[in-house]
Amino acid sequence: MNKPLILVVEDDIAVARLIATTLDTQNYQYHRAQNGAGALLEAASCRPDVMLLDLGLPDMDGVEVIRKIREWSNMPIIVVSARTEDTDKVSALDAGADDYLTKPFSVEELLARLRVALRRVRYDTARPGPESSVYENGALKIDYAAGCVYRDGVEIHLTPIEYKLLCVLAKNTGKVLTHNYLLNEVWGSPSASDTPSLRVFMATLRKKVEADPSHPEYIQTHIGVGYRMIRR
Amino acid sequence: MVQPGQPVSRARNFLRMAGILILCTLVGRLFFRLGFMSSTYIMVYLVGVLCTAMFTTGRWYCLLASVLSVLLVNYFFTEPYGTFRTGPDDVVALAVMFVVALLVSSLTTSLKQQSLERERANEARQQMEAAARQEQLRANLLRSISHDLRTPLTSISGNAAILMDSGAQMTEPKRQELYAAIRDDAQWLSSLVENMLSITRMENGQLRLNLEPELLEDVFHEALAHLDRAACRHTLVTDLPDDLLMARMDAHLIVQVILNLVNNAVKYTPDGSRITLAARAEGDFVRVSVTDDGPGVPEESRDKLFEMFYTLDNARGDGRRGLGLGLSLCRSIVTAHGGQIEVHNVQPHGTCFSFTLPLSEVTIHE
Repeated sequence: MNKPLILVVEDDIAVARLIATTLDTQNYQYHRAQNGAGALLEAASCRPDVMLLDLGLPDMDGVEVIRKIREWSNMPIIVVSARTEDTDKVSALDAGADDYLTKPFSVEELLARLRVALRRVRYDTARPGPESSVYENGALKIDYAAGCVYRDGVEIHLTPIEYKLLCVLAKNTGKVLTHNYLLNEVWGSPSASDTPSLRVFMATLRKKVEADPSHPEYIQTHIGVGYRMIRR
Repeated sequence: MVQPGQPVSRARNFLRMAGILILCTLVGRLFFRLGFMSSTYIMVYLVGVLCTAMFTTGRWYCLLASVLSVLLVNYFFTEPYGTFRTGPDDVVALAVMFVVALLVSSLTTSLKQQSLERERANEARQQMEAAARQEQLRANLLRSISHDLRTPLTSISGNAAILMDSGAQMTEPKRQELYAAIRDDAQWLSSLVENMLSITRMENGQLRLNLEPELLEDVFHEALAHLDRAACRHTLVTDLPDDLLMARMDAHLIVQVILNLVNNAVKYTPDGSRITLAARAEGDFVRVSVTDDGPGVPEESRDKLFEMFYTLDNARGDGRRGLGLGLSLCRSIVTAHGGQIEVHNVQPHGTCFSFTLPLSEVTIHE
């Protein structure tokens, strides 16, 4: 497998240098862009595996960049934001981003997020073609055809809604899914249910699916933003 | 009394004046029936003019009331009754009445004006005092923060300089020590910035809250993921009931409170101490507690702990004083949620910080 290519879109030179140095230690290849227009050009020309996108770009709204990229590519996009308000992250995720990092982020966090994104790319490209009827992730297995879920070969009994939730998470493994997205996918509209109920459903789902619910391995909670299924 | 700042419409004023005069006329007629002296009618109308001055805004209504009073007295209560013609002595009486009415209304209006101005001046002064207090607090805050910023910055730049100049001559463990010190100080700065950001969400002393029912387990998990590095030398335990526990809160702020409390427990207890983060339902509230088995808090400090800028010398002896802001910020956040924060010592030794949040029923909409 080729060395992964990361497109780093960051206008702050110091942060860009830090990211570059980090990527060097992992032998990742990378290209850099300093604004939205440059990002779109680079993305189209070098076709990176993952894009690291700073939301505070000088020329364009980061969300705009995401939308434009999503018109032709499904590449994982990790947004980097300096602002602590959740609304920025939620907008970015709803527009198509996969994950987010908040400054100041540690190098470990950056690398961990990149690994998750790259795992998704590897998985998706390794299995092209029609969707498989079986989902396997570590000890977790979903048999879509039979509508059954197994952990370590033992069947787990889920309610219809829990099953639907798990399937949505599984189909988007590696992506952070916002509350709104989940409410839409599972209930059809955000008004049919509400976020507190979603939280409760996720908690009960976690209790059934995870070996140790207090140290979840598969389902990550992102407070104020949403949830994510991780590939083990 | 017409309150300052309350605009009263012209129609209202006119109706009030008319009402008062009608009332005076009726009372006067009553007195007339009862055979009182003529001076009593004049007194009634003078009282009426005084009332007009008190209950209407503007001098014109008083003037109008004065004129009308004279005319009414003339019409109803002087001979020949029912006409506007009067005898010569009545004219004098009416003239005097008019003058008195005018003076009374003038005086009352002046008094009202003065009291209004005094109230406005009072309000302005109070606002200025409040603004001055805010400024003072902000100045204190900035001073404290600047001081707290300088310390880790000194350490960071110092260590970096040493590494650059003589890093090559050092042993690897020594170098790692300095690297670790730089990272720890950077983390310290990070916590400081988070606290400061929480403070900036206060406007006019009020915290802007995004309240939502949140699961305590989610909040605990988030807080523990952001602990200071030093926490790994302690034993951290979470204690939650088996049923789902939900409370209404602004998740990010409560995570900040829990982080502050747990980091405090880490700072003020020796390595290897046990810290328990627990949550229980208590009636309409959820009680979140952070308990350690360290040396406990001295009796005399317990009340002052939540004051801004108050810090204790810590048990780890590294001289690094807490950002005294932390507990005071926690209290502001908890109070804004309608809860209470408190501290008490536990047996055989240790401290328990706990706070309450409004309980949220766990109901689901299918």
